[in-house]
Amino acid sequence: MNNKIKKVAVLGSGVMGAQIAGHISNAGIESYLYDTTQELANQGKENLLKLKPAPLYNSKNIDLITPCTYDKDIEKIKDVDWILEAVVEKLDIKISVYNNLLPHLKESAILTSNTSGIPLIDLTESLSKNMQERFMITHFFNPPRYMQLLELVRSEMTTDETYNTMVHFGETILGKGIVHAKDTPNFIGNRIGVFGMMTAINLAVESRLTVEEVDKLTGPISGRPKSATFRTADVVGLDTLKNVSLTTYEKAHNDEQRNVFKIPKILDALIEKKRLGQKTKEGFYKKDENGILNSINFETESYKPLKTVRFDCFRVAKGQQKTPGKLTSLCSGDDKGSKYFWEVMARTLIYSANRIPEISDDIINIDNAMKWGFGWEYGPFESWDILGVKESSERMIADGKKVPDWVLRMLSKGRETFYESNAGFSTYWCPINSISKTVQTNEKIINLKIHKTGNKTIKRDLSASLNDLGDGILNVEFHSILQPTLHPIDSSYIEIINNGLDLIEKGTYKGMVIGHQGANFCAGANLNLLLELSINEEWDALNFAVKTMQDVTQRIRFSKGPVVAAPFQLTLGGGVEIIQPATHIVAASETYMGLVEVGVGLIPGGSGNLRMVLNALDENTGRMGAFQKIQKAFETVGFAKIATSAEEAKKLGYLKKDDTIILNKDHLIHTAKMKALELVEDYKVPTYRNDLRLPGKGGRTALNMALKGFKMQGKISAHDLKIGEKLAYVLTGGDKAGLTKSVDEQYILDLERDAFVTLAGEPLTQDRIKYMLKKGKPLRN
Amino acid sequence: MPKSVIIDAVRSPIGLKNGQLVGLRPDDLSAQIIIGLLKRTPNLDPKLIEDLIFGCAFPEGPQGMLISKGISILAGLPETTAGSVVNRFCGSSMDALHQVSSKIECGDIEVGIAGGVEDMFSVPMGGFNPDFHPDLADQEYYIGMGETAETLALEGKISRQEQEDFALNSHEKALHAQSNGHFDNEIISIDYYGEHTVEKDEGPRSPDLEKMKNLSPAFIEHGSITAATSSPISIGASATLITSEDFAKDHGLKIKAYIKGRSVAGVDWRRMGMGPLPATEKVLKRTNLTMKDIDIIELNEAFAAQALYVINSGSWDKSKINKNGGSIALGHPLGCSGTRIITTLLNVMEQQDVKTGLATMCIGTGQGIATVLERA
Repeated sequence: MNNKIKKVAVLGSGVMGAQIAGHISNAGIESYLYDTTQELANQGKENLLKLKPAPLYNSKNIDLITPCTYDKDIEKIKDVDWILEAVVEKLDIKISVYNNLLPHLKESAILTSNTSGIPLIDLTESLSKNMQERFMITHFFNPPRYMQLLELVRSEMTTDETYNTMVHFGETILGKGIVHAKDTPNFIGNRIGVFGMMTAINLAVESRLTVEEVDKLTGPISGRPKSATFRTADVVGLDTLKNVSLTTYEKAHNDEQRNVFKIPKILDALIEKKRLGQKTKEGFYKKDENGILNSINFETESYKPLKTVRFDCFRVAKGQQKTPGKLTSLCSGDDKGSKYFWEVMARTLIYSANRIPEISDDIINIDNAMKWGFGWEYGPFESWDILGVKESSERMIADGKKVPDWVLRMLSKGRETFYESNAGFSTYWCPINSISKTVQTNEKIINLKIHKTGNKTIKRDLSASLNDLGDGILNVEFHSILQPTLHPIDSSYIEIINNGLDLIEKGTYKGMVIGHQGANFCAGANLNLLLELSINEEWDALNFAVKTMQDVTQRIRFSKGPVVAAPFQLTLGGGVEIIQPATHIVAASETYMGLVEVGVGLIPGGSGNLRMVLNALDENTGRMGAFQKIQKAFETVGFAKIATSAEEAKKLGYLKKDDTIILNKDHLIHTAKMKALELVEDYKVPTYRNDLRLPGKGGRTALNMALKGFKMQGKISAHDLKIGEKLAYVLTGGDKAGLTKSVDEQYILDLERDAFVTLAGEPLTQDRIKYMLKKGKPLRN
Repeated sequence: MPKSVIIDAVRSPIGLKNGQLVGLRPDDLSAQIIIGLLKRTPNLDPKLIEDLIFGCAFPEGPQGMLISKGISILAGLPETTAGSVVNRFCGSSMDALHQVSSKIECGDIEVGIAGGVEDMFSVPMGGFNPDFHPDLADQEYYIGMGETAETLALEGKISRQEQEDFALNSHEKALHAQSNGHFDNEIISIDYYGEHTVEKDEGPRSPDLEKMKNLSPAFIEHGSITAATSSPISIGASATLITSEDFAKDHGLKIKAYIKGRSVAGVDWRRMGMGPLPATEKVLKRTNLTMKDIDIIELNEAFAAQALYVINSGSWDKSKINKNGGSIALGHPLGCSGTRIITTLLNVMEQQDVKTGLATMCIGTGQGIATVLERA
């Protein structure tokens, strides 16, 4: 499907409207941002440069947004293909805004509302039939750049064309995860999410747990965001939480758990005192005058410093490597924490199941809404599968809870999980028809987990696998056993990549995609191993390890068939070095890339310097000479800059200008495979470069002068200076390069490997590595 | 021997970072002031201008390709006018003036223009492709300018407070000059590609004292020099019309001043800011003058510490120096500053109705340069 939306109008330049316009600009699409006055519209636009986290991939994107007023610029509406309304949540105002612009709309234009609380049916009532066909709800979550969820709601009148245009635009152009919702209060995400939060709050008060205890249990340990329950409430704003909750309470009359949405005493008490969370700097949490974090006591309604939380179930869960094991541990302990966790979990699972068919006919949309809108690693039905539907249902019944009939019916039919995957397909249980249905495949999404069940794994090693993507394209998938979210490099990555390249060399396969579907692409080298070798002074072994990494990167570069890498999220250090030699990179827009070795007292050693040199010299950057190009690379690596988006990674020289950036990370593997197939045609192995003209000693002396200046200003330490000089030595081409002398690729590789190993022997570098391993942040020494 | 005289001198307003001049090509900027200069001298047939010598500290990029000849063409001077570019870093355009003046005095030419330009925003200090000699680096030849000034502050026992008072005074004098029209005669207003016109210097302001006191040292961690006590990065151009005395008389040109003496001197590059001291000593000796004979001084303010070091060490009379403020307030576009201070000096001499003036400046790499003028 081609994108039919070339220009957009966003009505309402408040936080949501402006940020949606911002994200539309991230996709390279122009928009008009309307408000009642020019001042408001301008302000909405300007706010995009101030908001944190940044709504824009690149501050320049803002130029695609034109602030407009309804009075002055209403005729411009005729240019746009989609109008998104994000004005205040008042029906009469929305209707009057619609009436004002309707006469100016293009015949084919689609009008959607970002409402979260007003029923679709009320919005369409006053519209003509023709307009009703082109009207629907598109509900974004805040912040729209980062939240994957986009809930779509259609009326009976909405045409398929309208709906499908928005599905395509939302998914492919804006990169969102589409959830098909019904016209019910708070749709899916906020209905279940707020139920979960309110249940967590009510039960916490009842069981006399503290704010920090609840957050410890309902945070990352259970596959939920860091902000867990109470910090999420503070971030959202307690008044907002109250409003959303009351919407369900007031409108969902037949909800058997309606009372859960009543506002708990503590929440009202906080709101009354204007303790609204982050925006007023106090809510469930507050920093006292000494900067020490306090939390509210539910009974006394006063703040107390946080206490260390200890739960046996937490300790056991922490010992589990992956979330499913953690979830099971949290539910199966016999301490207070476990009892609480199970209770919240059980109630949320039952509530979710009871919402079918009210808010969704299937379980998939509910799971997706919670994953994409609330950052849950597993949706309610996936979580239930993890806990065991049979066992946990029995426990619920024993607790005196009512398990929804359709769940029991599923079990009675001999089906014990909501989802099943095998032979490359996935099925899910359909509660409406009480049958198993095949999950519809989206041609742009290759789900590796499901794909592999079709006997597509050629080789599986501890932390990486070699998969067959079909059409002669291989996939190297990382699944670190050491760190299942950060995926640091270990020897199994290297081995599997080499295996794949062997097969390409033999002609068994034509190309390869390096990519996977974990939380982060790769956070870099295995620091533990590095530290161990350094402390034991096993320099030969370290040199060999670095050489092995260099060799595999060069093998990727000179592979007989194209290699396409598909990074996303954190891609640091060695992770960058693995992708940079690829023929082409298809990056998710949300890729945070950086050669950050300086933070641990090193410089890139596994070919990162060579890649930065090649990227710098090859990019056509106007009148910049070799010195300036290298100076830029020097600053990027020297300051360990991490790009805040893939677009910025291009600017910093980590990616090349012609690398592909896509907004939907679920499309990565498929897009990378397609790119590999495209490159297979007429593929030419790149030429080994022996013509690298680098600034040499003269340029290096200039860089070193600048470093000394930083040292004198107190901006860098003596050790930073030492590292900087090493980096300058490598990037300027050591002793052989100069403005009239060329060096080759291997020479740079030898320089960087040598510098890496030498620095690893420095005690101050080892201190940095130890600190990073212990605290997860860089030490300045 | 012919005498060299200054007929007129002009400059552009000096633009600062994010200001209204940033983005204007340095050759376009310079051409506008040459046109302005000649407009003020209608008696002079441009065909008689033999040479146009321009100073520029980093003559590359938009300042490259022998910018003076380019400026000459852009300003509509005839092809018979020759051109050369002089580089003596901060002293470049004063050196250009020395060269034109010397040529006239030895009879090589009769009429020339000497000036200078620097756009510090489009060409970085150090140029686009610095390539340093390691041995020179070992000898600190490439030492940062701020660091040299810190050394002088230390050796001259010049406190941060004294430097801040000096900087404040520079701004106050410049603001006063601005509001009393004391720059009006020297500034040619500049057209920015038809988008807007720039008429005055962007630097002078009433500094926020609180902010000034809280600034971190700019060059050395526990140093005394801050951004507020250093001359800001800037863009500007200046030019002077110089002829022989006889030529001026023959063509009915009004002489503003005689160029009485010129000098350059080398010093320790690690203390480059002291350059005006030996340069001044030399020029006074050659002109048979003493400091007492000098009525007015334009001392380029690279750094407050550097200027104070010169003033204190030479026991110069502060009341004679930089009556209309200096480079700390106005900006120091390197190649422009030499003839900029000459231009300002001429105007101050007229405003104060005095006879003898001295313009002097320090130069990175360890030099000083000085010029003595005598009003006609």
